[in-house]
Amino acid sequence: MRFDVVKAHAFGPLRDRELILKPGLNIVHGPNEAGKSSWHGALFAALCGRRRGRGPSGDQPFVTQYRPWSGERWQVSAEIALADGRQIELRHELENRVDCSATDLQTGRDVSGEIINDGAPDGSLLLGLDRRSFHAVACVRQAEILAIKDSAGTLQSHLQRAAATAAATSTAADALRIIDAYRREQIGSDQAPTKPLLRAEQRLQAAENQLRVAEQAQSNLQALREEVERKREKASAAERRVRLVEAKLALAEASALERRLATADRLAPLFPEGEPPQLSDDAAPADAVAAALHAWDQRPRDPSLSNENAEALEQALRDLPDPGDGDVDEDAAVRAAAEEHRVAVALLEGHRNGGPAAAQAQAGAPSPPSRKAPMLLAGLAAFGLGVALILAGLGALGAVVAAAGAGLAAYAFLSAGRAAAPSRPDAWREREAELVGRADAAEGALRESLATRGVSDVGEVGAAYERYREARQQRRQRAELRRRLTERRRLEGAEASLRSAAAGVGLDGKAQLDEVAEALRSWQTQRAQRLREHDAILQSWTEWREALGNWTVEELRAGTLKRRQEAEELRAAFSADELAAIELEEDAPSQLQSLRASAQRAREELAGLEARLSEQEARFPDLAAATEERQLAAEDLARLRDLDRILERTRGFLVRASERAHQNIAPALQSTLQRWLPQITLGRYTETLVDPRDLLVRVRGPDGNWREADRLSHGTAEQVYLLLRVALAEHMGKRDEPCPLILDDVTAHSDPERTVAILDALAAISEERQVIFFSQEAEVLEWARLNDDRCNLIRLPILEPAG
Amino acid sequence: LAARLRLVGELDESVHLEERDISDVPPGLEALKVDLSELRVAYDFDRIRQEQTVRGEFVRDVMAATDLSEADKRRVLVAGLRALDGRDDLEVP
Repeated sequence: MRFDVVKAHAFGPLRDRELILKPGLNIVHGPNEAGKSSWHGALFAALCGRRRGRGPSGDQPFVTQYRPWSGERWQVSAEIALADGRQIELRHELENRVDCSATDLQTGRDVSGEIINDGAPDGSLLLGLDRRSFHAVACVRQAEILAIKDSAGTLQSHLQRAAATAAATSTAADALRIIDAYRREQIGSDQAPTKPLLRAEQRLQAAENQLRVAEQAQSNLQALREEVERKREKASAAERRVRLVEAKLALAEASALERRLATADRLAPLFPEGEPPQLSDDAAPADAVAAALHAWDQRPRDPSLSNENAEALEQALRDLPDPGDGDVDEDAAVRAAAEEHRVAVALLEGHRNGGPAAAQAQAGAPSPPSRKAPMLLAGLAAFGLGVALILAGLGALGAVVAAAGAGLAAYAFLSAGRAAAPSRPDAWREREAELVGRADAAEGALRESLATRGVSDVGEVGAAYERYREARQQRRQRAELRRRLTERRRLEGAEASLRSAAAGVGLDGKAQLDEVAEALRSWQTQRAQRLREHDAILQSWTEWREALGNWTVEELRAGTLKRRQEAEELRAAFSADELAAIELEEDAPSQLQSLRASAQRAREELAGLEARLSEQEARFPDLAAATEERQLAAEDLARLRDLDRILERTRGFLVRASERAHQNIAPALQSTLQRWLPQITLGRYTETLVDPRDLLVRVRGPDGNWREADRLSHGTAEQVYLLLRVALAEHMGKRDEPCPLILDDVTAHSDPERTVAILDALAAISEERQVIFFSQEAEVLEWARLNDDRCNLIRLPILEPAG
Repeated sequence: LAARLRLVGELDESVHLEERDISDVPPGLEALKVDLSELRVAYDFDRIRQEQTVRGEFVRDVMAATDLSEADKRRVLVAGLRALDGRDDLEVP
């Protein structure tokens, strides 16, 4: 490639000017203010233009330096010739970078599309470079040469960037540092607590923990929801059971009301006047009748009573002496004592009546056959029977029988005794004394017995005994009279009561008593019938009133109808089976109340659980958010790890590419450097080495010592690195499209000999590529004049001030 | 009523986008501010791979890699070229 014409329509101080160039070495010479640097910039701008994309283009100094001073449209153009014979006109409107184009001058075709770079045509692409690498490699400006004096590293950086990355802004090393810094800051390691990777791992850990908590909470909440649902079903079932019982109860009540209504309707005709009248109160007469009939039925039946009257009996009683209180029947002890006394006295009298002579006379005579023994046995038997009768309660009869027996036995014994008694006087007397003792003892016993039976003044015991017996007999007579008087009075009372009761109930009380009694019994029967009929009426009345309750018949009818409707409405919610399955308890209201209480408890329990559920739901960690956060955290971590993986691979590829590029380009650069170095350094240095890692140039002269170029004199260093740029231009671009070199005052710091050497070298170099060399040095002008066959000298005048 | 139009991303090199093409104020707007500062031209891998440079070598190596998916290749290429451009927006979707 070569520049044929460069036109500065408006560029810095240049306006409507053009620079016509030739192949080979073009030396553009002019003094200060001739616009050399502007033309240097115009050449670059005419070839490469400005990138359109915004951002860190880094060309602000270019804009400041080369924007037209006069305010015209900032525009530059160039006509270039390519190795393949094509001629391209490049036009760049540099302000808005809109009117930019590349036109094939032979075909007139717009070829902008072939060389678009960053939105604008870039002619350096035709060289295999781009505007940045072209600027770094081919546009060697005085300022950059001078920069060597301040920092060799700066130049080295420019060179390395140009060599290593061509179109890139950074060197491979810079790129690696950028990647490392990015990985360090934007990813970090799992040991760096403030860096994204560890934070992402911690975030994922926290998110997983939160998710587990949320899932547990979700599980708990689900369990609570299920419990609430169970409670809800239970409450619903309880409510349904209440309604079921209500329906059943309503149906039962409706049926009961209907029965009551039927009863009321049935009984209503019985009570057109309302409550039936009460029967007359005949309870007292009825009681009197009953009592009279009872007394009549229980009256004494002794017929003899009919011949007496109470007054006569009372008179007879009054006429009978009153012996006072005492025995009515003879006391057995008294009776026995009296008999013993009588026997003892009789024996004594019998003994005394015989005397001692009779006893003596009778002592020798044979005793005739005795008839006294059977008598004695009969007497003893009678005595035993009497005692038995007394013991059997027949005191009087027993006493009589016992006394008779005792007397008979005593007589027989005495008769026998007399017959057997000795006739001697002593024996008689002994017997007398014995009988006297017995009589005395019997008398004492009788006296004592009488005293115990209330006979106080005994006196002569026999008389006392007789008084005792007489008083007893009187008492018996009085008792009999009193009994008969009582019976008579009962009979008279029964008759009087019967007649009185008959009169009391309106019957004829003067009729025969049996007729009166029969009439009263008939009256009782009729009354009982009336009472039964009245009771039936009252029962119906009570039944009717109970059927009505507090309602009238119509109210009962309306209430029944209403209750039936309610019951049917309640029943409608249930099937017949459900209704049949429920059983009303005997106390259905209590059953219903109990069920309602249960339903209320179930509702309250449900409300409590629902409140608890609402509270837990309100506090419930958002499971979706936790899941999403866990997903996002995992994605973020995966993104970082993936990014780290990508950057690690990127780094590896960059390191490898950098090393290979360096390895490839270093020998080539060394070859080019070595080709021109002896000439430029006037033989002082003959060999070069280029470090493939940092493009550090080392040189060696005949002394054999290697020296780093940036440690040489500034002029020599500039010359070495100028050659390095030539080498880069030779090796970086396309092999078949030589890259022109645009040099601005690159010999400013060279001595005259070195300047000539450099110009000679450039002249030789320009045989392969166009060299445009701006200079203000007299040595350069002189060389150009002396070598006009080797160069195209263009002299620039001092620019006229604008305006 | 004013609007701000901000274009972000990478634009293929073949697209010729002029700011003036989209800076005309449409009816209904009083002003339109176009911001193309975050709009970049996409890398042309085929062109860059032809460069005899580090980045050309880089692109060639990456594109020849057999253990990378096409998607990963693109991400590695963009990240590497951005780093070589001095950019630090290295995360490539």
